[in-house]
Amino acid sequence: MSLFSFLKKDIIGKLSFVRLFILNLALGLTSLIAIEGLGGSIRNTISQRSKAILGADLTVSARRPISESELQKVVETLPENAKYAHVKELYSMVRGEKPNSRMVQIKAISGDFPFYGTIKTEKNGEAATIKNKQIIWAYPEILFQLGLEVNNKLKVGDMWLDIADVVNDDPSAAISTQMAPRIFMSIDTLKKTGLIKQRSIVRHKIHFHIPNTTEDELETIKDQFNILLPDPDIRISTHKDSGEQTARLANYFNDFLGLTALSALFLSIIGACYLIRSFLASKIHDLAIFLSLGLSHTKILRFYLIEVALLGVVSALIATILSWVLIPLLINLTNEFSPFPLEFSITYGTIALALAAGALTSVFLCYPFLSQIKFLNPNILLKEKSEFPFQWKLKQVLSFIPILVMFFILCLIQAKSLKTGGLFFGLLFLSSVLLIFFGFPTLKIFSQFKSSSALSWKWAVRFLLRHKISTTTSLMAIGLGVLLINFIPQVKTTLTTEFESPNKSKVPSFFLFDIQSDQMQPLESFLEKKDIPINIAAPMIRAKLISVNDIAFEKGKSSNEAMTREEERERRMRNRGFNLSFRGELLNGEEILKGRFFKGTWDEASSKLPEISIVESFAKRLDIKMNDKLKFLIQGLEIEGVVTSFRKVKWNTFNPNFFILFQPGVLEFAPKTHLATIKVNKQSRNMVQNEIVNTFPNVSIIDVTRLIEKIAYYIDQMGDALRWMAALCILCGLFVIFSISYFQSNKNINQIGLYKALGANNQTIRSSFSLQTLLVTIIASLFGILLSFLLNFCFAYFIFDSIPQFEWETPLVTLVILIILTQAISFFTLRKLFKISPRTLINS
Amino acid sequence: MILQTTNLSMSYQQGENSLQVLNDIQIQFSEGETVSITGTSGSGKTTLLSLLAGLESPTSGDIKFQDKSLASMSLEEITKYRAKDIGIIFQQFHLLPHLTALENAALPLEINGDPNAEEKAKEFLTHVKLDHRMHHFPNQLSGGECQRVAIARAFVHSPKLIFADEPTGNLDQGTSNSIMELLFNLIDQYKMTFILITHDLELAARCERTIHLKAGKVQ
Ligand SMILES: Nc1ncnc2c1ncn2[C@@H]1O[C@H](COP(=O)(O)OP(=O)(O)OP(=O)(O)O)[C@@H](O)[C@H]1O
Ligand SMILES: [Mg+2]
Repeated sequence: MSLFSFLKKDIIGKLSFVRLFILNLALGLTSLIAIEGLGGSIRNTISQRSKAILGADLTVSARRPISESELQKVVETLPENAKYAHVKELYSMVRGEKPNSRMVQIKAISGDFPFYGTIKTEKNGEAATIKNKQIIWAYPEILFQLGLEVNNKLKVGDMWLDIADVVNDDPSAAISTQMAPRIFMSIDTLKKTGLIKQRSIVRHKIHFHIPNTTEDELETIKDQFNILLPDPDIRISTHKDSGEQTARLANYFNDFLGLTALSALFLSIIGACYLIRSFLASKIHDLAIFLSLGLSHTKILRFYLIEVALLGVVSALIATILSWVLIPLLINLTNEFSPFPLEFSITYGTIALALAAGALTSVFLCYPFLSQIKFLNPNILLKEKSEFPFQWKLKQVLSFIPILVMFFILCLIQAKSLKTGGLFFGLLFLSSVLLIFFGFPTLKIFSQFKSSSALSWKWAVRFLLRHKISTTTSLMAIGLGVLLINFIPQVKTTLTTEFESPNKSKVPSFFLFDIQSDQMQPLESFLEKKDIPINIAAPMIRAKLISVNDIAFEKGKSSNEAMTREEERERRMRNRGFNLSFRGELLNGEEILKGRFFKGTWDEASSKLPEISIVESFAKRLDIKMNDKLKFLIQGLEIEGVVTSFRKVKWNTFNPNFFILFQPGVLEFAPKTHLATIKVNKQSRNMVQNEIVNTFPNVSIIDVTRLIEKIAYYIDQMGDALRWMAALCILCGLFVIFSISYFQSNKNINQIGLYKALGANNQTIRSSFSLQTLLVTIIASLFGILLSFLLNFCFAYFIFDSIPQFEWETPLVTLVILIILTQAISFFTLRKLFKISPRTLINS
Repeated sequence: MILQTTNLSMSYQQGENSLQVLNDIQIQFSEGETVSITGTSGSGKTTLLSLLAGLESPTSGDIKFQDKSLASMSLEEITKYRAKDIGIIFQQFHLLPHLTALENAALPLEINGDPNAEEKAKEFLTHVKLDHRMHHFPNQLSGGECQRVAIARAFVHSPKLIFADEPTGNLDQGTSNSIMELLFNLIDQYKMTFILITHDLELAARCERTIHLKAGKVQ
């Protein structure tokens, strides 16, 4: 007999196991493939649009003007046909003739920009041009929010400008433009508004169009530019970099979803382990017959491994088809986090990967069980009772390592971070261990309630306690599912309560920045007249970190290598200028973790360096230690200080704060702007904002209340998507339960038959099964909910530094829904068994 | 008369065909009697037993237990009949694998709501010489020991009728003998009506009366 026909016969002979196994694995793989497909769609969309997003091939940008000589240096290296165009970006308040104002992002363009893609406008479509005209184009929401129409005027800086058109499609839109909508103008117009001089943050960009270059060539040019422009303040990015940058939020979101997908996979692996174990246990006689017929242990093992690999591939195929339905749904949700619509795409690579993952998962998870075939002795055929001789010695336990390692690697790949991936793996593992070690003993405690001596209760408890493996597997499957579905709402409650707590009174309503030094006095008296105190005012000084302990900071090399999220962030941080501030006392919500805060003002005459205080998490990211010497460049002047304290800042006070603080007495004379926060009651908010904009046109105002609303909105969106994935996890969990009850039904036929033959009435038998399911569901759910509370507590305490808040609605709803679902499953799987006459007992 | 059948027939529907397994059976069992039922394989012995024990209903005819017709009983009454009045011993023992010997033996008492179920079951297990294995699970017991537990389970609630279907069919000769010895002793002691299905003519002869089935008919 050929291997194929043998396999075919074998698979047909155990169809119920095969079906359950495949479906179980398929459900777990579906979520993973869907997430992989979502990631692929993001990557694909980005790579197709990245040139249009940047509007160029390559860009050089800095927070200071890029000098002519710097420009010439790089232009010389480029081919003849290369072109460039200046672009400047900044934030500013604008207002219409009606006294309404709001913050916008100004994008001033010149030359042939954009080189790729077109800014489409309402009236003139793609043909529109803004060059050499003193007009602006605005995003539609600006008109809407300020109650303006096309051809009305907008006050930008010192000038009143015509709104000539409305932007319908801006390929370079980013998430930030959702917070501050954009207006376009020409660079000449921008210069006339007088804004550049008053702004603390202006992005000066030069976009390059280098025709017919491949991505590799662009990377080479980028490296070359980096060498020619060694100033770390200058950032050089290709269209690919900027596409990735734009998709960062969507990618983070995808990573986050990926972890939920892994939880689903984890659950189905647990389910599949249970199935293969039960299957082997039930097949002990067949195996023994094979052995007694002279088939060797290794042959049987090899045969089964091929078979489970095949089952894995089939699962993956089914999962691929299922994910086809799921991906568009996920894409819809992710579009909230992406400035441009994502296009659905699934590559052959993804499918191939899925098939391989299916086969490997299946083989790895089955191996620890299948390898035990070697402990099987055909002489069991002669013995009366037949239990599979599973032996969990060290070597057998170790054979679980491949599946664990594979899962761990998947975690790392999904999270793109050793820390997050490891943490996730750890938490999942820990939760499982907690469920294993505490779930079952809890059940034992429950069994002590003998007062309710109802027979069905007694039978239910006894059955559960004596089937430790299936009970524990059920507890884990439901418990983890409940944990995942409850965790997000819990954390969200903590976060939103923090926003809306009585402490809200301390949260400022407006954040003012770009206040010039000579405007501080007038602003204060202006606000004083309105009886609005300034909560906090802080000076802000632009600086660049040039060395740590006299070792110069290197400019990051460009690389295409897969970087973890942490590496990526560290690289971004190092190339960046910093905003420094100085003050003599700690703010509300600040705390010194290490060292001590500044002692008074720096004495110029002393030989000691000025003291620096750094936010701890920031220091960690830049790898700065206590007592390190930091040298900054501030407007051409080098200033050195020594780190004497690490601070911790409570972020949700929304107070302006700075990663790096200098001791007073050092930076007083450096050129600076100021930040301030004010608290205004709701009714007069609009009025105050408009008046400040009128009186101090260069001061920018962020409406903190709106910002908080926006964050809450994103959390909501995130929660929605996560709930979908968590629902998939629950589905996997339920499927595990279904598999278990289905697989046990053989045992149950005998059990029900016997109970009937012994004269137990149907009601008692039914309710004993109901109670079994109910008990497992309730205990597992309680554990899941408790664990979600615990995780919420840890998150609140360690990460958000706030008081955990708990929510009861989701836990209660999940509990009720799960009870209904598991009861339905139990009813469904047992329905047929109750129809069978007890006579079958005698026949078997 | 403790148990009596009238025109008892049983047929099974198998697709188009119906298979007549029992045909117009008339038998009576008086109280305290021991009766064996013999016949070739497939002659309908087990079917008869399952009808007598109320495990399934006949296609036609009736069974009377103490002058009450099983056909007229409600489901609840049939259940009660199985719980209180009969005990069955199966060839395959049919112990619940997740229960200990003691718990298995105590099941009928539990079902009947006896508050001292465990005590009584313990007593009975001592009776069948299994007191030292009470807390073992079926897979830790030998075949003979399993059948002892099953015997204890059949007797423990003092039913009026004991049915046994090839109780030693799965056991070796030696064990078989001692199990049968035990069974007959207990029957003797408790004065129960005993209906034994067996191939073994020697065993059958130990009963007061033998009914021979052939192709669904009493010979
Ligand atoms: N549920 C059923 N459906 C169809 N046919 C059945 C069913 N149960 C029993 N039979 C048939 O009824 C006939 C009698 O079966 P029964 O089990 O009563 O025989 P038996 O005398 O106990 O035989 P053995 O000595 O082998 O145990 C057999 O031919 C059997 O195939
Ligand atoms: Mg039979």
